[in-house]
Amino acid sequence: MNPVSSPPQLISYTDYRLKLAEIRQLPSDGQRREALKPVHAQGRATATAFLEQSLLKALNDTTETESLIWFWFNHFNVFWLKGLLGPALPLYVEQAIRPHIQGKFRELLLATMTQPLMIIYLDNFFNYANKINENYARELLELHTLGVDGGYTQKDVQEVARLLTGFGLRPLPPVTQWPAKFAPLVKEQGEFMFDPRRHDFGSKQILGHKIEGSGYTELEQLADILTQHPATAQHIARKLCLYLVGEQPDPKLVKQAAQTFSDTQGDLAAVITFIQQQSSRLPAQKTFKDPYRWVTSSIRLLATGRPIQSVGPALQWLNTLGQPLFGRHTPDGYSLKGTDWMGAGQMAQRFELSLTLVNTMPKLLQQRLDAPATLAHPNLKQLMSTLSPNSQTTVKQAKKPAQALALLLSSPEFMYG
Amino acid sequence: MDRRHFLRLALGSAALTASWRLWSLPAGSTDSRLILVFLRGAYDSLSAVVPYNDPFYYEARPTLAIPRPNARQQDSSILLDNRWALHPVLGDSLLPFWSSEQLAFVPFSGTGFVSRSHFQAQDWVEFGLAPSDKKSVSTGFLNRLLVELKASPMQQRGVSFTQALPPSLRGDISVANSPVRLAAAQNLDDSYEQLLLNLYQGHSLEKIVREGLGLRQEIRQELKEEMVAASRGAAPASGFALDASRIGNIMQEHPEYNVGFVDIGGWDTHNNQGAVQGDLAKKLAGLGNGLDALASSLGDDWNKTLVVVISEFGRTFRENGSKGTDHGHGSTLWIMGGGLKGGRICGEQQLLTAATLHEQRDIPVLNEYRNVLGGLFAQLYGFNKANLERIFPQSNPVDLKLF
Repeated sequence: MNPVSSPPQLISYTDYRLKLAEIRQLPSDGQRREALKPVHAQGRATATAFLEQSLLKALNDTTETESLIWFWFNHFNVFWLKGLLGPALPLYVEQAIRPHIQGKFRELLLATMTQPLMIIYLDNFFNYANKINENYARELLELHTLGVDGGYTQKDVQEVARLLTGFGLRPLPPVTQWPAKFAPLVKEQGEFMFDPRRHDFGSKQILGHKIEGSGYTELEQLADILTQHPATAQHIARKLCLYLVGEQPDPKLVKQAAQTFSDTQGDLAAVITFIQQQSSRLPAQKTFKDPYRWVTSSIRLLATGRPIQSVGPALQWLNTLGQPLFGRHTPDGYSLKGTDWMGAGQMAQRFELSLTLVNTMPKLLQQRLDAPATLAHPNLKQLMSTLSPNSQTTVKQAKKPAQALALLLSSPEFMYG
Repeated sequence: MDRRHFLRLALGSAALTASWRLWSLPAGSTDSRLILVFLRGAYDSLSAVVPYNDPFYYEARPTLAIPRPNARQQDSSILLDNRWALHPVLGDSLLPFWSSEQLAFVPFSGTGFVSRSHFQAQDWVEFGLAPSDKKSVSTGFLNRLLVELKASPMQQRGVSFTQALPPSLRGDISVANSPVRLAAAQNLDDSYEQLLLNLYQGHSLEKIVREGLGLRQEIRQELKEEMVAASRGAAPASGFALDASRIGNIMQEHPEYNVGFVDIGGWDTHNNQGAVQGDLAKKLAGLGNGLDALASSLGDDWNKTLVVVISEFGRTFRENGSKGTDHGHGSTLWIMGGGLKGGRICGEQQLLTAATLHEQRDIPVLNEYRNVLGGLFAQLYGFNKANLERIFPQSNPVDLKLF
């Protein structure tokens, strides 16, 4: 009998980097390639385990925590498969995003700016004094803070890129002895390091502000300037309204939310509470669900209040529908507009998945799905009562209860939420 | 799947009789086919089509420049004319098209606006409005093209081989979309499919539901045929070549899908993009093989097909600090087709020196893409000025004499 190979062990990002650095020292290409395979497998396994945990947490979350984590991750989107950075993904979510979702925008921004995943994903790792790479600088202004129409110029992008020089990762092997003039300027935090040797210490002119070359504190000054800029308030307020209210938020609401952002120096809890209070007075908007919302609401509907024990193939379903969890390749994040997800292909895929979902629920619940009992559950009866007469008639024409459940998930009414 | 079943899904049973008749019409001048290939992320045009006669190119790109053509050296570019040469990885796939005049390039092409944001620039390119009107987001230029084609006897329809419907195909006409790589999934039997159609009867999503189920079946059918071919020993394609041959087969079997779209991501080469070899070279090779596969899978239809390869903007003329290139402006458009009189570099050109760069960093745009495409559409479909104005408002279509 063949021995069963054990699944790859999970690995911390620090150990992962150390192993990769060791492998780089191996003498031949062939040896390096062979040695990389198991390490990369560990990296992928670490990310996958984290994705499963995250989705499971989200499915069982009755607060809005996991939904806000999704939102802020998407806002500061990174893609862990670029550069095979699996073990850096949990750090990014747990250290940069989770602690700040209801805190100050400035702290959230700074936390993402010093995360290995962001630094590598947007190429700041390669951005040195006199060897400028402006990728991160541009996305920082365009996507993370001011917004594309936020009034910055190409010159601002270049100046921000100069400021960001030297914000990178701890070198391996580590520097044992820093020259005296640099030693006090070094700043480390986990695998992040500000390396003064790579930094452009000239002064910078950004959005009308002069920043003197001082090293790490320039990053904090930049975060202040960006947080205080009215375009950032407007950009963040608009996106939060899109996410929390629906795709056509009242412009007045956006304006007031932006004002709240400015008045509170970017206090996210205050902005979110304001939007939720105000929007509760407006008529509810029905938005076409993105794949994440459609899949999670389908699973919750079929679970009828029982806890989800395992995510089973649910991550795969998100992939199929074009919205893998924490898996957007480009830095803009997924669209928050429902209509962007509406399409012929999306509909056909959801129809096929509805059947799969019903058949796979026992795996997620770790118990049998009693289709007739599920159909008779008050939650489903409630949903049934909101369907159009045409949908109700059609669901009743199903050949068996499991098919009726699938038709419910496929119904036009369930596509919106 | 038989065509009758497909049509029932795609058009609704009421339309069946009328459109069934259209199928037997002989091919006419209005049955031209267009396929837009969008390279998302801004591909580095200066590595694909190399300005080998501009010394500044070699100065500005010490590690990235593709060597001058040299017939005796393998790792050099391939001569196209007295100024331009092709990346060596594109030789096998594209040189035959160039030699037979089925391929043309338009350097110095791009948008009339300047945005170095991928996402904004992609949207604006796909909306195709006048540069001054770039904010009024409504419909895509390919959808407006379909509107103009609506009156023609062929009843052209759009199809997008993408996960989501791209902005260029959004608008008044409903368009089917589906990736050509499908996960194994539940088969929807006919009676269940009927229930789904009933669910959406009279709903605003009814049309796209029919389109979606129809195209889906087409692709499944195509995959089935591929498996049969594979079991007879045919070499399986991979990467974009695989997608492209599926697209070609589906479009060849379905003449009503006349305006096609596909995109390829991953062109944003900020670091270590490579030169003769490397990441970008691999992507370019895949693209070339895909275009080749697309042409062969379309069979005789290739003679009435036009393929345009476009990207949202070009990259910086100079290489950056990390052996890559940053966001720029002008780029190079590719035009391919079996009936083309190409084999030429088209459009306005100018010398590339430090002094002629746009904003001291980018390739200037001398050939606005809307004018180029408008001119091609005029030839391809016999459009008049009014048609073109509705597709590309305030444009000045140019005739590149490719037909």
